[in-house]
Amino acid sequence: MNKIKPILNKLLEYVKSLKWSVLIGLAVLCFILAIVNNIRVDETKSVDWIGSQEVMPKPDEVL
Amino acid sequence: MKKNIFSGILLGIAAFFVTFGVAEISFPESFLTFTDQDWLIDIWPKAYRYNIHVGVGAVIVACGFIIPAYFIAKDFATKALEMLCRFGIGGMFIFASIFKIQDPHQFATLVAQYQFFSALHLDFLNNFFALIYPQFEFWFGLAMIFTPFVRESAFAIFWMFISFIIALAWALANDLGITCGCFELEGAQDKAEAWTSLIRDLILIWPTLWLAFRKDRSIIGIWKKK
Repeated sequence: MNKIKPILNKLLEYVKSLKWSVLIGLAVLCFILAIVNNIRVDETKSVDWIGSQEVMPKPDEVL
Repeated sequence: MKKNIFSGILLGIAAFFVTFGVAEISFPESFLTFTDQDWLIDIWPKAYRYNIHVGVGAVIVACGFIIPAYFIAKDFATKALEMLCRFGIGGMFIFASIFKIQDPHQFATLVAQYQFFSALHLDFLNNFFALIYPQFEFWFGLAMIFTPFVRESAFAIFWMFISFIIALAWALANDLGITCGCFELEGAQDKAEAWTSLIRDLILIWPTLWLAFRKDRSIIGIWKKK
């Protein structure tokens, strides 16, 4: 525990030293562009905003 | 100056071996690989089965060139390595994201086959994840190459690598359908593809972690005198 605490403190300092405005700003840009891209592509290539796709069943016999 | 030139040559050779190794592991039957070449298969018919071994070996050989390059000219080698890593990792993420951005439906279908979100009872997030993740790959890849924010972009890419490793390990451990080659989906061809992707990610996560602790500066800024 004595050895882990300094490492955790250093990691915390590192995380605090990051420019979170850049990270969050890029994340927001990605979110917006994801929406724009889903509208931009053909209907056959777009997806519903919320939901999933079919999970294909694995055949009993794999060739 | 001579030391820098010699170190540069060694790093250039190392870059070639890393590129060749990653191509053997992840992009077989491309112009960069040789375990699938006809002349080699004539001599050694099972050569194509050893692409992972050859790829990992090439990366180890590359390390063998990087170490002396570093000790010959530490400052130059560190700067050159940072530049090469930023171009390589950033470029790889940009390239990997393009096809996923062009066809969100295909990528969402592939993500669904991992059954990771369904295991967490979060199926409804599958499509949203498939829409936003390639954007993360593309823009953080671009940021790593073209902006001074190397720490932030490497931090984000590091966590993306962690998510890929977890997903691939999950798929292999559960012997999911994506590892049987049963589906005509890019990225879900067979178990070997899942293993090669996992090994590639386990190799590339380390230079990414190194970049996450570098000083924030542009690629040109790396070479400017303080």
